[in-house]
Amino acid sequence: MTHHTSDVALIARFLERRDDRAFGALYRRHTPRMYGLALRLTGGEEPDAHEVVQEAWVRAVRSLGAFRAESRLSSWLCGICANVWRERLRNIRMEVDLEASQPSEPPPRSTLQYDPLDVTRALGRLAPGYRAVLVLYGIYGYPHAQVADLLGISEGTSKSQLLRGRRALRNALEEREEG
Amino acid sequence: MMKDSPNDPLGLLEADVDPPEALHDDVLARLRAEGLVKIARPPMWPAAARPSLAAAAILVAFFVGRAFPSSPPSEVATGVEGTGLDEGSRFALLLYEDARFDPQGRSESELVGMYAGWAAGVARSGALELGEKLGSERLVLEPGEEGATLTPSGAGDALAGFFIVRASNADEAVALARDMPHHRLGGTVVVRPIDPT
Repeated sequence: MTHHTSDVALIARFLERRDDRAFGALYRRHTPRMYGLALRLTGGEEPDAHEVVQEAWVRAVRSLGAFRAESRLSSWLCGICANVWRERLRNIRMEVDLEASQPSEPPPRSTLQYDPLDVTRALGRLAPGYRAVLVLYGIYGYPHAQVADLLGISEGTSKSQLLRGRRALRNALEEREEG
Repeated sequence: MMKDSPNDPLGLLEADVDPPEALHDDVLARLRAEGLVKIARPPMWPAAARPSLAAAAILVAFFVGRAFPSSPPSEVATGVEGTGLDEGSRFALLLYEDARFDPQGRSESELVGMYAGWAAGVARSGALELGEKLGSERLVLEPGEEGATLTPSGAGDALAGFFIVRASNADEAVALARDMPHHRLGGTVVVRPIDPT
């Protein structure tokens, strides 16, 4: 049986000491998920993901004292990552224009035919609004209500963009195979 | 529900990805630069490392992303031949900025974090002796018939700062310089051995 120090205890230790050792425990536990999310949101762009996580940790540490234990720390940190990423896109709306993007339904394929790197790159070619919903809902399990909050869109838009985003992703993967 | 179908390509992607090692240093450098985290030094910290850490701390204020007006020199070090210098030779890493230097919209604290992160990593290895940012003012002393003539000059070479590092040879010094974030911003780094004589 593995015993883990709780996130709340790690936060308390950090707030008491404010040193790099206490921070290191939080960093090691949560950064792989934050980096994974940032990497997918940025379409596999490692330097961008690096900067998103760096900025997210700074913001998180600034307001760690205000973290409420009723939510999971990893979700809170990943939410900050998503916000930082969205801010970096500045004027790009998360609501994908339906007139400009109506992906057709590609034939169903087996996942065995895809490579994880191809999927990451295909995500990178999608409209940011599709990519964000696919990543947040489809990989990280955020409910639509929370996806909507993070992206500044309605819950209905999150659901419809998930559907169209899945088609767009398959199309992007098909295009790569044909190319 | 996260994956809606067994054929979902998203199912191939793991939620967790190992971050690059440099990310930890960069995050810590930002947190230190903003006073959010302090360093808990081990009780038996090697005496030789103290000047290096002091140098790293100096770098908190290093580089705010100014562009200098003139061109960098042509002696950019890329793949220097081994010079056979003794272990622990000292090298100057000279940082130049010209019109190609572009902070790409990064804030001052982000830039500081990038450089301080690199410097903290080098300091931890014990290789960093000193790092300084140079101000923009230039006072030039030129030879004249009645001794040196002082000429204030606003524009000159694009030397913006320097680091002094210890390395076994020039290749190792170049490897340190190659990891520097300066290149990602379009800056040039010149590696010069410090002549011990």
